[in-house]
Amino acid sequence: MELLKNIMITAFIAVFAENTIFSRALGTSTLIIVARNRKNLAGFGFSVTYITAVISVLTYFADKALNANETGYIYTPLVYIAILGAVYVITLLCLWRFAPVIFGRMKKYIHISAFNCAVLGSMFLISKYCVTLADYFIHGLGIGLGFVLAVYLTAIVYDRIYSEKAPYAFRGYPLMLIYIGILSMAFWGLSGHTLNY
Amino acid sequence: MTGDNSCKSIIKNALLNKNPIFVSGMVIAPVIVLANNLNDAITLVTAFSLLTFFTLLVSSFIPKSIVYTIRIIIYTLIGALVYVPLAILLRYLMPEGVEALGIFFPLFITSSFIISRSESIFFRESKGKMLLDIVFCIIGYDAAVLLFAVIREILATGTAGGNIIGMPIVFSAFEKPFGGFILLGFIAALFRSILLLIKKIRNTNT
Amino acid sequence: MVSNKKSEFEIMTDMLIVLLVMSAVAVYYYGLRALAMLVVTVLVCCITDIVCLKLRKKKIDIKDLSSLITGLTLGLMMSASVPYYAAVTAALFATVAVKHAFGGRGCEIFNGAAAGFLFSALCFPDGMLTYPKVFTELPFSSVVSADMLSQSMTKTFLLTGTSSVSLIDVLTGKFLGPMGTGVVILLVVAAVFLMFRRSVSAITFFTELAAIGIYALIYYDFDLMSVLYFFSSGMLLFGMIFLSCDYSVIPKTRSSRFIYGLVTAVCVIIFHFYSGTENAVIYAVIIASPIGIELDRRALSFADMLKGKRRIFKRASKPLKNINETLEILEKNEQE
Repeated sequence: MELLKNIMITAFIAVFAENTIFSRALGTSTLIIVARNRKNLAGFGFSVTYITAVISVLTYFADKALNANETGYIYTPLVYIAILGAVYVITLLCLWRFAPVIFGRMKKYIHISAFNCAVLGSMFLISKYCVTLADYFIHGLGIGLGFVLAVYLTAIVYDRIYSEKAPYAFRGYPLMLIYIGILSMAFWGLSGHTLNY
Repeated sequence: MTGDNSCKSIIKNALLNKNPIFVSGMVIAPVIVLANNLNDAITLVTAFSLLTFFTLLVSSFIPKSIVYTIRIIIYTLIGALVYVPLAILLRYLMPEGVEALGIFFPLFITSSFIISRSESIFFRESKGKMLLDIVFCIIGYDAAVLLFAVIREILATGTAGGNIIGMPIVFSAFEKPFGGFILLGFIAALFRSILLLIKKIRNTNT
Repeated sequence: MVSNKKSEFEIMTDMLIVLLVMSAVAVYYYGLRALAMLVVTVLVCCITDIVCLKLRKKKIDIKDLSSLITGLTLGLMMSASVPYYAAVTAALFATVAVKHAFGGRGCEIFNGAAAGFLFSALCFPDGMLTYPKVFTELPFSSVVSADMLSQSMTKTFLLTGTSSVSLIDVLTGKFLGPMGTGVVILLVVAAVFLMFRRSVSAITFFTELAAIGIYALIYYDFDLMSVLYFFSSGMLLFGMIFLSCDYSVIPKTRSSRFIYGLVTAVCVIIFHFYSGTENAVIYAVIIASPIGIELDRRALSFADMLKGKRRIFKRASKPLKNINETLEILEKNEQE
């Protein structure tokens, strides 16, 4: 029961309070690209969550090796990118070999779900905050889900943001920033509760 | 836009019409979180410019015949390799600044500049024009970040580059990430309406 | 499916009447500075609205009371001692960033008053979240000295779990808190009045009330007094009536109103349980409103799936009013 409660709280923090977009703004450029098309959302969400979950486990072992070395921090990005690339290639190969239909659908946007700031940022974040393997995994999963949540919340108002009724100066990109800003203001209430407000 | 390849239009697009920050929204994560005063912005801009320039420069030698799946890994690996000497250099030159950059410094490797810009520059015919494009895109980015950081610092803390200027009210919310989003949204809207105004004036003159 | 029996103007007048009564109580409790605050917020909202309309080259609609309502709601949510510039910031933000940037009346995604209050509270936490006692003489100066102010009853209640305010005082709103959001009796009367006039969605309101009520009962071990404190504190009841049931952001179909109420309630519960922020309902309203838009779309496509495409043509042939602009946009999307 205690374990379950801990898992719940860790997942909650990763998804809501430390949401990659709303409290750290990681991967905003990716969000702007992905939110355009609602049809790809499910596939994109699945692949991001899958990749963050898998790499979080690998990051754990990489961190163990890197922390043993004093100048490890310089090579950290190199190792992380190598992990990311390996996972990406292996996933694509597996899909291509065993599920060609899904491969055909996924290959358009799997590169953007693997190589973005949110995924690489999640590796740096979890190695900063987590200790045990379970921590790493739950955090990785939560960060992926949180990113998908943010993309979903933006995609559902996409037609409002790009509607003819919005003034020309604001239509599109500026309005999306303001929209994300107001939402992250609300999410700040969760992460910033150590502050006065 | 890729068809239009004259030097003048490349420079104009990079600085104004397709400004990376105010119009296209590239690499805005570190800007929103970190660029809340001039000093941090300068560190950010230095790190970004050096990393992106050298990575794109090396990337341009990668033959286009390799499939995109593999190429994207190579680009990011080059980025990670460029990061190694750069991290050592910057840690020596400005240790506090790099400390403040935190995880955002290595994150420049997967910035959309390197992921997607590296694709579009291959449409350029010659190496010279490509170099021009890279340089002016980075200049456009740097100028936008510095401008944004100055406005934000004045609004949020009432200082400019650390010197107190007499602001009657300061809006401390602009220091936080959500304030960055909102302020950047407003500046982007302002930027767009100024561009529109310039275009209108030019049309009436000719 | 769609309740468009009342025009938007009638809904707004109903809201305005209720808000004016509540403002009268606020002025009675806190004196002339409360009046000054309300005047400031309403004036700034209206003037900014007119300026924005002029800038966007749109016609000014005399029947548009929305900026008055936003101003009054915003004023009532503030403490009576808030510095004037904080109130002005909130009103400016509500009108410019939340209303006109998204395209003006009928196109808002968020509730203006909620977002404006939140922005101002995050900018000036000291000024916005300290409150004077009822019936104290407040000076007219912008900044009221700190020794007249103390933290709200909500904060005390959240920290200690109990409160020393008596039952009568809670019901009449005589406790440390925002100007007009604590008068429980008046709020209940207002809710009943607005629901009977069909200006506020009863479905959403009762869904929220039931869900939050059950949570509060369990959380406070079935202590009714604590539940009452819980509802009267932190603008909860006020927010449920005026912010989450606001006509401009609420979904337009019945089923989605039910789910929207549920989502808002869950958000309130999450914020109360995890973060212990003072005004959980404001955060909840902001997070729930984009989900409301999506729910509308889902409900429409679901209804179309059930009943064929005939309904769409029927509905489109009716003259659409401003409040139904959402439906218009949605239908266009469906047809595409």
